[in-house]
Amino acid sequence: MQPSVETSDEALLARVKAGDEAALEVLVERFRRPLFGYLHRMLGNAAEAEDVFQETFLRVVKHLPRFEEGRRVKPWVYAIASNLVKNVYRSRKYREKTSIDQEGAEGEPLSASLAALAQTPSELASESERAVAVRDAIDRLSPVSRDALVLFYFQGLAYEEIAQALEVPLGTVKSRIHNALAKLAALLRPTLETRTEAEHA
Amino acid sequence: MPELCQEIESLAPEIIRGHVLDGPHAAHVESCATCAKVVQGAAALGRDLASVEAPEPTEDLVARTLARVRLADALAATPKPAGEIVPQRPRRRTTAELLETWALPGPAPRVAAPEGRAFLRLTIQAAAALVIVAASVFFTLEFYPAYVSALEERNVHGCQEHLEAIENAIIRYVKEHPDAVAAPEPLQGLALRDALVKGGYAREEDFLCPSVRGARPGANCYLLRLPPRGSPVVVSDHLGNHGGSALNVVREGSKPELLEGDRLWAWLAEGRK
Repeated sequence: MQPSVETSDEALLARVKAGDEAALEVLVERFRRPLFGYLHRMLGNAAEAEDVFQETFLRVVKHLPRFEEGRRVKPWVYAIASNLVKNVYRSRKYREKTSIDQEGAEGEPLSASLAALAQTPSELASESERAVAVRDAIDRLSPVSRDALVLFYFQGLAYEEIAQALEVPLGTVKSRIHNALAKLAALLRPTLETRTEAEHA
Repeated sequence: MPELCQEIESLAPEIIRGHVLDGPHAAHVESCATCAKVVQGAAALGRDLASVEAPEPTEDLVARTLARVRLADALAATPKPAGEIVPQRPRRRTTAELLETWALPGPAPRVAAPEGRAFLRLTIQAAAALVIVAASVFFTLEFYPAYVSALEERNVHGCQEHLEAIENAIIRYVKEHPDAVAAPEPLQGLALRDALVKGGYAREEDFLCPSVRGARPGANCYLLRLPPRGSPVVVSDHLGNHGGSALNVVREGSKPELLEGDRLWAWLAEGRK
């Protein structure tokens, strides 16, 4: 029997555990876009993102016997992927400029950043320019902030799911997301302001 | 900050994600300029983030992933060939085995019979033990007397420093208590020691000879007495502190010295005169 699209991730994984390869195919297909999107945003290139995507599912299959019943599949898959991303960073000798300990010391609070952003007429910048500016700003975030932001905004994970995926407390997730958004708003503001001034000139 | 303002701030990430405020939150934003700006900024940031297109994976990503999983499974399930040669680390040889090779001249002996091999090993072990014992005895005999002699020399030197300290103490004491030497029973022994310590002329440890084991503060290891009027101060060890026939002495006006043999007897005879 082919697994239907409505079958939950957990039910699919149970079938994979029982040796149903078709269920694995459905599961991989289900994660194809979102997980690849996450990896691409975190790693910045398609080739590495594809490699880590495949490696993620190799680990999923390898660690199936250890998957506890009742646990959510999505955070587990993202936890594996997130750890693999960290390995890539390490192999690149990536140095985190902002460590977890430094969180909260990133400047003004989110509400202030947003209020300031509201005063910037970002509509004046073209759609494509805005996208480039946002992508640059996301790339400039520290890996931990970017990880939380991508999972929250682009992957649409709930706070609890992000906490499970990143294996950190719920409060840490919230503060990481707040910091990431505040920093993003602060990073975008001058870019958009500059562009707006240039257009006026 | 009012409660609703705080709530709206905490909802900001959700607003960025597209959440639309309703009920009391929406009503509050209508009347609060600060919150209105926060919501406006959150919506702007949401639009900015939405402008970033999601990267598209290749169509065959699923097929390639499954192929990689299958390959990994196949590799894990493949039994190792029966005749496969597994490289092994060479076995560590025991000391006795190494001695078997090194102790005898020529190539290493090949003793086929287990009994013969055991006997050879036992013999070599016994020889090695004998060499170790002999070396220990040799080093003990060679170096122990020198060690003991150096130790005693250090003790004698320490003892002489004590004698000088006591001599000086008695000289000062006599100078400050001229009547003490003329007393019917001049101070001597422990009484003199106590008087010198209490008066601050000498320290407790000055009266302990380093060669006397177990001597504790409060004891006295030396022959002490106030000199007759007009006679020099003389302080000496107890006989036996530094062996049977040696005595450390100090006489006022000369350096401390260790007397042995004839010199000791001459010194004692002179004292009797």
